[in-house]
Amino acid sequence: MSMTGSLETFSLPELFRLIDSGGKTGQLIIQPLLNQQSLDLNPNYEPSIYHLWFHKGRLITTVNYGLHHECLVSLIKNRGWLSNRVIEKLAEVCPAEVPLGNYLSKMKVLETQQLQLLFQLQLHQVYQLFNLNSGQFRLEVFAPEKLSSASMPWLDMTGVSMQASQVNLLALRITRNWSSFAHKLPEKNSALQQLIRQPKFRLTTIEQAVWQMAQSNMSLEQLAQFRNISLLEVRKAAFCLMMSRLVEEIPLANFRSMPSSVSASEMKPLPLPEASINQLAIAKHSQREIAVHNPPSNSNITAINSTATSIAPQEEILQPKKPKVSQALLNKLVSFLRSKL
Amino acid sequence: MERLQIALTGPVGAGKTSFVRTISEIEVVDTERLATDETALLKSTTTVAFDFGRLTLDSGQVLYLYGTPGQFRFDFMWEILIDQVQAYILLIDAHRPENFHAARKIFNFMRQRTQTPMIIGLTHTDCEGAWEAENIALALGLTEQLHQPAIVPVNADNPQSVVQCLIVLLEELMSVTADLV
Repeated sequence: MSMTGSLETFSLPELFRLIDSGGKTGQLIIQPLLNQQSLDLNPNYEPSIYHLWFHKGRLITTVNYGLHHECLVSLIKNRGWLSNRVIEKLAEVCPAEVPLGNYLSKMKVLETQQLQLLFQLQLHQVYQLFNLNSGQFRLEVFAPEKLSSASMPWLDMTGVSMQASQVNLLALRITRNWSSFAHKLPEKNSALQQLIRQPKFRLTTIEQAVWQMAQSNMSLEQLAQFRNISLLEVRKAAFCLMMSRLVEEIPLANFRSMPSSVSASEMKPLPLPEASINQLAIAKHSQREIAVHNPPSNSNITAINSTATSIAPQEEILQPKKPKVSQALLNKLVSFLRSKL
Repeated sequence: MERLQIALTGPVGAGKTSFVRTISEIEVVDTERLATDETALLKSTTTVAFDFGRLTLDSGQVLYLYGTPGQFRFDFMWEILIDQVQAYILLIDAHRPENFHAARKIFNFMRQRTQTPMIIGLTHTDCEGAWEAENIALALGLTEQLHQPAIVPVNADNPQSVVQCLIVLLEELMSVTADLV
């Protein structure tokens, strides 16, 4: 099973959140798009292709297949911890289905701290990807029954892993380019809902403030004013927590604040918040009258279809109360619908 | 006259208006207006209040269908409509992952306000780039730990497909009717 798409339509943090929540095992391939600036600097420029590997929702390794091919063995070579001959030989004899990092630790040629540093270096490559403006992705998910030893990149695995949602939090904190997520930030009039009782990760001061406000019905705008923090910073912190699966955005209805961008050609909104459903029906009725007697002069505007002969009576368009529904009615409806199949 | 009221909700372009038009026995009362914002990239007109359709049984009992606006600036209509209905369908265009974020917000909005029975209808599942239901569920924040609503593919322009989708919703509603007030 694979999913493809562009990072503009489904962002990297959203992908990481999906991988985490689905406990996915597989590889995420990211190909940054060529940009004009890179081509101007070097006509032969080829962007790297990044392969990020996950196991049960945890990031286990990343490999850059660009010109500067960076695999685990090359990272170890670059650090100078082992000679080329030794690391290549050890990689050759590393048993199947054992991460190379674990094997090197078992052979006592690398310490745990060194493996963690190597994983941090791999993470650093991932963090850079969060700054991409555009790119293509392909997520190849391995079904558990089809997962074989050959499926996993054992020689590129340190044995260290991190939950994808935690990678999100750490990466977003240091992301400089937020342009690709700008339209995904929670709205200023949204509230948040905590998804767990206690964060598993240490939060920054702003994140902690946002986390605590998620216990209330306070909007992000109200929090920003209350704590004297910029609204943008609050929204960014909220986005970090959302992508880390700590909170969920709950849009608050614009019931008390009428949309300011409704144009004159659009239906006049109701006098909210006092408007009742009956008033809505009246408003609709009035508009119907207008449509009947004064057809819109602008031909681009689709006329309300209430001029049609087989129109529903206005009083039935919106009913004042949610009626009870009987099992008998449901049974009849199902039979009625089945007769149309 | 006994009636059942159902809402169709979801992001812009999911097929809500088409769904109501396909099944309604009357010409749909709609509030389509010229799209003036980014919605214009997707389609020329958009719903600004709601669509209304009707289906009458021989016995005079009726099914009312309400299609909500997809744009967030009309979310006050969601609140009005969701209070009126006994069940709703969240329609999502399976081949536009850029809309999953909006779908998740709409879903959260509804779930925060009502326990009304619902199902998820996936449109355009046969289009190139369409996501599988399992992954769309994850994009909506539905994990195995939570009660998963039924997810059904639906062609909003096909009467048979719309009828089948409605039957799934009614069966869901029948399973919880005893709890309804």
